[in-house]
Amino acid sequence: MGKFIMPSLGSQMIEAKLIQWHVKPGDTVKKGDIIGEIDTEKGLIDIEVFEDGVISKLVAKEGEVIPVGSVMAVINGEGKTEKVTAKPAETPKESAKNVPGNGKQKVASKKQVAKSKEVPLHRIKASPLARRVTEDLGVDISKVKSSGKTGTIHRKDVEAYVQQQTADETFEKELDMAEHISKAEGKSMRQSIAAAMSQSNKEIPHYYLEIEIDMKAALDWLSNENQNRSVQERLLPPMMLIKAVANALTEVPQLNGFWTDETMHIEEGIHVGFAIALRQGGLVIPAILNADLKSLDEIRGDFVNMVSRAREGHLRSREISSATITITSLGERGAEKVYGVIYPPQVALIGLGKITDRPRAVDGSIGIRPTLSVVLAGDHRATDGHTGSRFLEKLNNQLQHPESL
Amino acid sequence: MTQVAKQTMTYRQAIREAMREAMLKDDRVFLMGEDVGRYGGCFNVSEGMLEEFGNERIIDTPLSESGFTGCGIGAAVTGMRPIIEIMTINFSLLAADQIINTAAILQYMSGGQFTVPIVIRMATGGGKQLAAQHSRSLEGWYAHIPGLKILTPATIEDARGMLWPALEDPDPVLIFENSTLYNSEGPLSGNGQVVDIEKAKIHREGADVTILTYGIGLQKSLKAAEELANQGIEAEVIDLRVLRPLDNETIFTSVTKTGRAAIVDEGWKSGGISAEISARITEELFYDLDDPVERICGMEVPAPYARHLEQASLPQPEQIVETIKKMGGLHG
Amino acid sequence: MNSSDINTVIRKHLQRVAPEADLDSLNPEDELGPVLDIDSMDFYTMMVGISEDLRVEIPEQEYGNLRTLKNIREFLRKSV
Repeated sequence: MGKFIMPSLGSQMIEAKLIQWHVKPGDTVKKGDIIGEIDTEKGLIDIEVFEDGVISKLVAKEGEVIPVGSVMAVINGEGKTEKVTAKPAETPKESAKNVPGNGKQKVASKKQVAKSKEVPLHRIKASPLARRVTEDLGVDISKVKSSGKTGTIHRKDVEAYVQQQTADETFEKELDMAEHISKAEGKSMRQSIAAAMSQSNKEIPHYYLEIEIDMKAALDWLSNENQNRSVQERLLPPMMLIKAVANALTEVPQLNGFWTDETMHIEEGIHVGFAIALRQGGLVIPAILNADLKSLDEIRGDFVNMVSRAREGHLRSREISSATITITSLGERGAEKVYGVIYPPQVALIGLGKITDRPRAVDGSIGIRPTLSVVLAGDHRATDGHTGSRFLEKLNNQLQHPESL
Repeated sequence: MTQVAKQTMTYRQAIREAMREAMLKDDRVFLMGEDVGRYGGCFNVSEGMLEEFGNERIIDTPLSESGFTGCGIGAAVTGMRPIIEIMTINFSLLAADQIINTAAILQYMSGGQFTVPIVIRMATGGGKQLAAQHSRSLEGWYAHIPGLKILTPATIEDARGMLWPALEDPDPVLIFENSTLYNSEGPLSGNGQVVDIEKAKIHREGADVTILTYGIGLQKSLKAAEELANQGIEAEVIDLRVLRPLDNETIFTSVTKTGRAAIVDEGWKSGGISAEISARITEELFYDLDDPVERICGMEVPAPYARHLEQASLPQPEQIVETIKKMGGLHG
Repeated sequence: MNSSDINTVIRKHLQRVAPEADLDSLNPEDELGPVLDIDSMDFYTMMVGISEDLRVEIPEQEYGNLRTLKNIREFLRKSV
């Protein structure tokens, strides 16, 4: 890549203010490193870099408001420190003057890339296992970097590379989606995103399905479970809901994914977003990745961690943009039912109300049960009521058997 | 689940019990060797047995390894089940011709007419300042010979249990008892169950590296594994138990899982059992290896007499840890 | 541990989850949830913090009661 651009961290975002840089030119960065903080309407967010490299130029100035999609920094991907003549905070004019310098750097990088391509495969030092794994996974071994002192590639290096690739692909996909929208409508990206959100209700034909879930089994199990747990380890209903939703989605995957290019793209990974209200006003929706594969305890850990970071303004950009489906829960403040608005390009939203005691027919007589009202909002282009009802049924089943969550 | 009564005993007691049990069960079994009778065994293993079984079954021999080993072979060929005790593996060199040129191949050379159901027990190993002529570990050398079965009990359970199947085996079986283990003590459940003399045993499971060892190496490897675990490396520790024939299946399954192996052997590296195992692993699992096979062995010197030098010449847990930590696919 | 130490700890964790709230103007009988706009996650965070600082276990059956400053103080005085 080489250019670090202002990420789009939500369909509504069109710009953000750069509060501060955490790096300066010449610093080496690794994928995942936090290089700065930006202030969006939803609060302070840490921005991470998606590749290894050396910071070549910081284009955006601290305090500057930058539109989504604009270049904020230039990263030299080869990992070699080259002398940077430009000052950290440059105006556009100055960076234009430095273009010849940029050009030189680019040529140098190309030469280095060419060199590494010339290394014959059998001279790449790699363990037989590492080689076999690259063959099995269809990975180009010349692209894998060794983490060891001898430069030999081992299995864990290949695994790290594959993980990085998958993450990069996801990021690329997200960028692509945003760019696609703008290309399709001939508008600039930021305008399209603003338009998409404000038109969500108009463009996305929402259908709503409700179900009243008897929560007695779930709450009893929870209370029992928590008897044996210290305060720090206790489970809360939202954590169970997240796991139950993820499990239900493994059976009804049509609701897990994105509507783009006029078609539904079902996602393999189930990343459940949970809407968290911020005290300053506004909403962030961090996602718990692969919620279906995680245990209830792992979800608890992730959830607690994310809520506290969300409220302290330290969420990572990746965590905000990964959800494949979202849960919004306004039950705390008394709303009994929540008819939500789907966040495009997702195709469903699960609204949770307050758990209240309601009379219910139980075993032939009337009993009082804690009841949760769940309202599923679905995108009618992607799914229909039948699929939605099946999902709600599965969700109910999950919550009636809390011990297998 | 009913708890089987547990007793603790020492390794030497376990061997003694094994011999007593064999002699009580089968009249053909007898014990022969230097100082096994009146002295009670140079390592006290056969203490009390002369009194219990008499001098026709507990036989003190002259200082003549070749002589009494040959005698044992003759007895075995003609229908007895002798246990020959050679004081240490170092002295067995004097009986090498009997063991290797007669016992190991008599069945082959006689076209199957004679089998040699002999069991030869020997103390082995160093670490006791007994100096160069009395401190060797040559089990690997004997494991080179087709026709011999090589057992290396490392635990109380194996000390107690391996003797009977060895006696039942119609072919020569050599049992090597590391002398440092004689005093070791441990629990034994039940009434001394019989164990197999074929398979290796996994004493500790782990997914990062396989440590293959035998005899005294087991304790050292388990200690090393604990230290490695503190540093985030989970080692799988396997007691080979039988050096010939080696349990390929257990070895290969483990190394396939972990992708790397380290062999701990008190014997010398050059041409030792560690070399044999390393070669097999490379032949079978080359494409599953994430790192070359490492060997932690005795230093290639005659055993030193000075305590600190002798200890330095033997593989120690710290060495095992260091070697494994340096394996490329693990660190970082 | 005396009352004022307990109060300090309660204040500390309350302020963490409601940074802009004016704790001095709080009535001890006020329901913290609606008055300070804190939800179950905030309560949970508070309880974890208080339990760690004061080294006291808070059984789950108590949660329902610990919704006002007065109740929290009473419970902690008894348990510490």
